[in-house]
Amino acid sequence: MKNSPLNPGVGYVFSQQNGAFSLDIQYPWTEDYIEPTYDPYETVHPYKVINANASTFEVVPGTLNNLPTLEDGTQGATPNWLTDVPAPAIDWNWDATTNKSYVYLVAGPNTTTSVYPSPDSTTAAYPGVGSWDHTFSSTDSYGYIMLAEATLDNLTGKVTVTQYVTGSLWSDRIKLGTSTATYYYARV
Amino acid sequence: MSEIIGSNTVYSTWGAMRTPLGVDSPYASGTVKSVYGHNTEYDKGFTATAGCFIRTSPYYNTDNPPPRFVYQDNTPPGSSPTNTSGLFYMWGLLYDGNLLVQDDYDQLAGETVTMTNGTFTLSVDAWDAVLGGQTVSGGLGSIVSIGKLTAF
Repeated sequence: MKNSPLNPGVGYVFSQQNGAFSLDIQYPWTEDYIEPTYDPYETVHPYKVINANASTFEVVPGTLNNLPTLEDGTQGATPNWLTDVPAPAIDWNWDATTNKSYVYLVAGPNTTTSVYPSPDSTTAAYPGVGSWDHTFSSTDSYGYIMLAEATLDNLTGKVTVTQYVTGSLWSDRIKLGTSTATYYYARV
Repeated sequence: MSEIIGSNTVYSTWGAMRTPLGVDSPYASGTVKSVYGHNTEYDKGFTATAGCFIRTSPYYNTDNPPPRFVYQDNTPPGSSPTNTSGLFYMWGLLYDGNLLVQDDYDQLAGETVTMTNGTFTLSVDAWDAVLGGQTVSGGLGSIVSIGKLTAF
């Protein structure tokens, strides 16, 4: 059997010495081939922002008062559930000055029954996750809890996510007199 | 997955152990609070400073209306002002002095109750509605403020 010759390619060379061939890798492996390093204490949890790039991100499915969550703005006939496969790629909304974006879980009382959070996934008050270029204060109609905050490096396109909420949530809405309603959250 | 504490109709976070205090007559037809699924709206009442709620007894069921302050004017119609009398007490479905935690009872006793037509000092007698509560003057009108509590 005739052996095929093997030619050196980019980044490595062959050499022969004392009757043996050597393969010399001249360059380190590029990042694509490096086994990713990760924090052994880092775990995936509900409402974790993952797979973030400069344009989109995904969120690990979580529940608010046992209700599975949508991509905010898709409440209606064709909802994008966080549990969809593939997961919805949610658009970032970046503040053009600070390069920051804020990921919120938004929910409110049903406008007809006042049940909170609205259990009707066709209503805007049904729990949804989205990204905004500004922070929110809760209103009588909607409670906002910040799941994570992200910063975009304009030069490299790298997105750094600071995660604040680490699990599914239970929430109550309480309104005193004419004051703006307050939303209370507990992790479950 | 289910609720942590509390019930499936009213609040179930830490608020299940706390509540604003109402101000009303136990026999009033007006709504002290409206309860929807995990959404409670109080018409009027009191909180501690900065909207903080009051710690309730572990026995208090927040499905019930919140504990409330009641002024009961016992002035007979047409009687002389010198013969008027009234009662002031905290009312709730547990009316044996177990509505709040003891520390909050202690904080409230001695506070000044301001009515539309006068003032008096809140005494511990007000905690026991079964015994009639605290005897005060009649004709005092409505409860306006109670010491360190904040009205809403």
